[in-house]
Amino acid sequence: MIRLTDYAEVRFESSDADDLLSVLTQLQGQRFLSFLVSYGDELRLNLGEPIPFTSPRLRGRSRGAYVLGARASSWVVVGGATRLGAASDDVQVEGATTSRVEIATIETSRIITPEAYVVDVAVTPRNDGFAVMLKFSDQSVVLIDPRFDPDEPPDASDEPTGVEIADWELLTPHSRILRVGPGRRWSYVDSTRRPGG
Amino acid sequence: MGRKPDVRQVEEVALALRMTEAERIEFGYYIEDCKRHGDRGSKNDRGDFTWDELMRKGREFPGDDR
Repeated sequence: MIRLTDYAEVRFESSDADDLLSVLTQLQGQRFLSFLVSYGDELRLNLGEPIPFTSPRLRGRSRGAYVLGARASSWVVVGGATRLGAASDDVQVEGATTSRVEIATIETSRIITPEAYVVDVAVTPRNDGFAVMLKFSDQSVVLIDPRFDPDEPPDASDEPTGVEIADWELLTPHSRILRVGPGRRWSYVDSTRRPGG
Repeated sequence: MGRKPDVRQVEEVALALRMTEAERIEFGYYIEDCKRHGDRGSKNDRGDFTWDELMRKGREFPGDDR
């Protein structure tokens, strides 16, 4: 007997942690490409084959076939070979060797060895959501943990559309995007459909 | 202030302009690149963008190739 997973199969509003992990197994073996920071100081982890950007402004640069986005969640990166670590500003890390730097620093930090590949993926219920942890072949670790701030106002927008923000997300090369949270629920849906289309 | 309002605003602009998920993700890099290279917004001292400025950026993205 073997385990066979169809990474094109969509899921709506699931809370099944085991099934969530089965979706994430597609990351195993994917090579680290880069960290890129998106607007809003969002950390994005690019994995797999490089996909060139389409914008002339970004010509010559690329994202990964897989893009793991931390959205507004907390995150920690611990290097294996490099002995460096980094964390989002809401993670309490203090010490004589800790300094506060701009988030863009992580793009050139080489905390994770180039070409290191994912050897393990884990999902853990945390903070009324799901945390995800990736382990790489160079012993590096990436943890994304849903941010829970009791003083933060409810996730209701005062902007025109009021969309809900996932705790974290994964764009895949299978025309699917995994959206996890808020809370312990997730969806794995078509990434190519235009809203309202 | 946390990251969520800015992240949400990008998502809302992408939704309003009917971007695919891949386009939304690239748009996030695009406006971050604009900001880093001096094309800053007027929302605050950090150079963040207002809703109208983000909508304008969304319409010009990804430029002539679209």
